[in-house]
Amino acid sequence: MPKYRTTLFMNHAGAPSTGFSESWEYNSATDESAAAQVQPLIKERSFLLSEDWTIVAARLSLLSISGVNPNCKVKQALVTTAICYAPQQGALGSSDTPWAAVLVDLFTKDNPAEPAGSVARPRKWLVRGIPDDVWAGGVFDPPASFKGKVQKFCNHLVNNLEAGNVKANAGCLALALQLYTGCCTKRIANRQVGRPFGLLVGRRSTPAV
Amino acid sequence: MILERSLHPCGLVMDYLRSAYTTYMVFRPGDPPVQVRWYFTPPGAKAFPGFHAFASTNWMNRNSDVGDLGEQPGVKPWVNGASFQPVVGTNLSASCMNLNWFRNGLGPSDVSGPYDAQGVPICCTPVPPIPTTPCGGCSIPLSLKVTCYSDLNPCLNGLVIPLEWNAFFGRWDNGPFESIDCGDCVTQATLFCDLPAPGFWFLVIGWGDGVFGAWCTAMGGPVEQDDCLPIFFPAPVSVNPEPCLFSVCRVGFVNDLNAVAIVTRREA
Repeated sequence: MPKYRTTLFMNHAGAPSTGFSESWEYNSATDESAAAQVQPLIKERSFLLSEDWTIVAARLSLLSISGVNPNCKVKQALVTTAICYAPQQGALGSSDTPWAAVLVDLFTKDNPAEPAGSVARPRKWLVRGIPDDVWAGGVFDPPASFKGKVQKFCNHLVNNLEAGNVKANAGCLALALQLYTGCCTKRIANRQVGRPFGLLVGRRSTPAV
Repeated sequence: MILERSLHPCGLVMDYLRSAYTTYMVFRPGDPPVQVRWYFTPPGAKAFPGFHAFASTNWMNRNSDVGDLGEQPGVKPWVNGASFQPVVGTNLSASCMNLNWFRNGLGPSDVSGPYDAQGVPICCTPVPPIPTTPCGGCSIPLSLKVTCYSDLNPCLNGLVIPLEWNAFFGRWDNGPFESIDCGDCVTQATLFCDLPAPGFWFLVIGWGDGVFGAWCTAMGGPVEQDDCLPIFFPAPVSVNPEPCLFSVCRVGFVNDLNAVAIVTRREA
């Protein structure tokens, strides 16, 4: 089944230079069916954005795959189209710190959460465009509603973008991101004020002198 | 010619970038690459209507291979992204948009264009919005080319008449064109909608002595009008009270549409 990549472009109303993009890859039978997934994806993603953020553009690429399983690699975009739609503004509260982010673990079908006897290897998803109220007193403490929205977005990915239910390790296409239903947020205990993206797991937080 | 082995999207959005650059693209497999420049479209530009092979490689995981259709690997010198061509990207002319060319590249014998002096395909020129007239939904050409094959007035042969919407009179008139001196005659053109048959139209080409307004009017007919039929036409559009004998000329739209118009002359 052909593999596609949708890239969304987000702009911050108060700090346009902090705009970012985010790509999602999925399988779809045809160009048309792949394009039809973009608008729902935009809508669902906007539910996780603060009201200062707007999804201003989207592009969709058909990807080619090279190599043989398990060494399949996404080679390049064969053809691309710009998706035309009205800008979608975020729905959550304000965000004065446009660089802030939350790290989310996305467990795929190939890498389910904590499989017995092995180490889970989730895809790291840096969620930007989040509202300020996920922190309380400098400590990351997202309200339950935010966690629910993250889970809802993950459910959308699982239920819609992988509708083909490609079997794990079935071939090159198995390398397509196949999201597991059990995606969950990873808590960031300390937020580095003034540093982009907050504190990332595994990254040195102290600058070299 | 470089332009003829290139493709021009008429200012439509081909990809999204936060910084512009110059690069090279191959538009036909086997052709040498052509230098192109990414630039920012003005607000209101529309997205290209379909998949194409000429997106930015900035979004690719891996470099493209040399000779592949589309953007070539290599350095990408930064440019400021200022628009340098007078195309807005709000119009998509069917004659410009062979979607297969944009997806699979030009074929061996395909030639894009023709182009104007600024390197913009002539077909990119925005089509004037079709005004709401009693004619409703008329497909208005940009210009007309007259080819007379009767003995009417051979000096009109080859005359290209641009058309402009006359908002004051609510009709299509001729735009500026080099008037042809047919003896003591001066040419002009006016386009009328055919009220009884919406969707059709008449072309009026006139020439006369220019002194007393004694025009002998040429009148076009609906697009299905047979060629070479001398007919009388009532004279509401002619200031000459005398009936005119109408001869036939073929009027071909410059943009490759075809139609038939009737050109008249006064039978003194």
